Amino acid sequence: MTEKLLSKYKTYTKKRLCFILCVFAALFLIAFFSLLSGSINIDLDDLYNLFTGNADRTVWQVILNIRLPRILGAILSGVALSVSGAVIQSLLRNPLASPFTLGISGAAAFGAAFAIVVLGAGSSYANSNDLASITNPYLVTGSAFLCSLASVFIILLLSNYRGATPEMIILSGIIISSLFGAGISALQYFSDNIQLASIIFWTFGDLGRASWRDLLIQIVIIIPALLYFIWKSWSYKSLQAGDEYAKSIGVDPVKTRLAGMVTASLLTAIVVSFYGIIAFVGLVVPHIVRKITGSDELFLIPASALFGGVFLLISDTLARTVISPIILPVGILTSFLGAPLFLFLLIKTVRKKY
Amino acid sequence: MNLKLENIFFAYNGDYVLSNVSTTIQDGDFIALVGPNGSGKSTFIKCLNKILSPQKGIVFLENKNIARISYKDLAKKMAYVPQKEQSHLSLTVFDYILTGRKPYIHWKPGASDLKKVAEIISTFQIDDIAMKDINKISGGQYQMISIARAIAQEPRILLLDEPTANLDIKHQIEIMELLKTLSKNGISIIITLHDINTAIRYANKFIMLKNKSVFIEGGKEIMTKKNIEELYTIKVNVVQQPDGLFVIPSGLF
Repeated sequence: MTEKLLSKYKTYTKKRLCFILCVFAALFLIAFFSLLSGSINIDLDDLYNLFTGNADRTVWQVILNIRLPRILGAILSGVALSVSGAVIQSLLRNPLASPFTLGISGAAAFGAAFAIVVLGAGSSYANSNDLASITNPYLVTGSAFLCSLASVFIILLLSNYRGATPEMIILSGIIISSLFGAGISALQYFSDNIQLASIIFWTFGDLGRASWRDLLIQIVIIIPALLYFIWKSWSYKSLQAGDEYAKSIGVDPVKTRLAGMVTASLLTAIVVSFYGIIAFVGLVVPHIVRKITGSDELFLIPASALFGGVFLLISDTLARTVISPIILPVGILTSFLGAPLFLFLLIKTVRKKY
Repeated sequence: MNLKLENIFFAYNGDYVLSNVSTTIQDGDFIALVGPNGSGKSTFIKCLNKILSPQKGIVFLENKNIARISYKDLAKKMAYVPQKEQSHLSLTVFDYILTGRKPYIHWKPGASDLKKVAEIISTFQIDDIAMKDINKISGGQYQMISIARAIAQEPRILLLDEPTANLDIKHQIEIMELLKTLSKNGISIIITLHDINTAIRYANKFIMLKNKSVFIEGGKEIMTKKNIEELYTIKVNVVQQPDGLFVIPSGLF
């Protein structure tokens, strides 16, 4: 009897693993497709020539300096935002939570804009598509991280407040976003024309700015953070049943929540400081994945990470090709997709209560 | 494995719920905590495994102050079955019970953890619902699996906060019989109960809590008309039946 049950459970586990592997394979396929799509036509022959060293200089430039960094940027940002969303939702036991809806992205955006405009960590070009260029990524990310921490601490304080409902936390997220939004407006007010254009363009959320140096910094932070989340997944799973129960099975909820939230805000800060605000990815992706893997964080976290990569890569490829040669900032597209879902989730959460 | 509480004081926002509580719990005890609403039964249970930390006083487990024992080490000795689950998880019953293995799991469950859970499911005879979503099972089954999850911790002491609340009489008996079996297998049981007759039927030791403190404690001999009337401030009759004592409220009609 026990053997039969074990084999049933193992089959169930294999199904979830299989989903993760399928998403992983899809990520490669879509990345390959994305490499070939865009305003300049590149086909398989061009790719072959690139590997044999006979590629045209333009093709070489487009693939190595534009498309490949952009694809990697999309994957890494998707991974970072989705995994942060999944972890924050578990840590706060709040289905509406994500880096964007809690105001962490807004806070990070203010921090990054402050570093670019006031601390001189960025330079601006008047006649380029790439209006804001980061010259000191460490300062920008550091400043974004510090501001995102401020919002995280406000949220953690509020969540400890007895009777704090998920909706109340989200409202406080809106307040935090408005506050830092006002800060960005103030920076814009005191900026010159070029800086103003830079900030506005930058807040759209666009993946076209990734350079190889930026990507390296992102990889060094995002991959270890992802592994940390997977390593801690069982502690996050324990927290889902309430802090009291978590303590009774050996998990310190305060330490676990604090370390998780700080790491999630670091991931948000790094994405926001390089690409601006890409809204709703951290909310939408974990919800879709949860429907397939269930609430087990050991599967939810890696699956959300990979699915997030796929989601943002598809969104960005669409944004690049849908009205080609004009390239839309991906943030606009994810907002159009995410806002209706957020509304739907909000109604569902409120309905559950009343 | 004995527990000793020494002069425990616990307050929520300055209001004391437990005041100067001292008692000793011996290995193999089946203890029922009884008392009126708000007498501090749940708080008492939560102070035993550091879910709540008393403002004053010490809880000793095997003569060691539990404040100095990690949550993880405590979890290998004591398991807790909460009164009300806060979660809206979407998990299979198997995964839910597997959560109880957390004190032994680093980052992912091993083969021995899975085997242990499968054995518990078999012992509890809940194989038919093992792969069902926990949101799709009955209240009685949910209570059963939350005890199974606690057993997965391989505890020596089991703390239960009102496990029979909201259950019909058949499921109440099922749960209590299950606890009796666990107690016979050497697990100490500490349980809060509203139903005094259920407490008398199953427990071998009673701690009556009143006015934030231990009013009286002892074996079945303390379950007298006088003590119970004083505890709940109502009139009762304690009737001796062939299968035990029964407390019946009196003077109501």
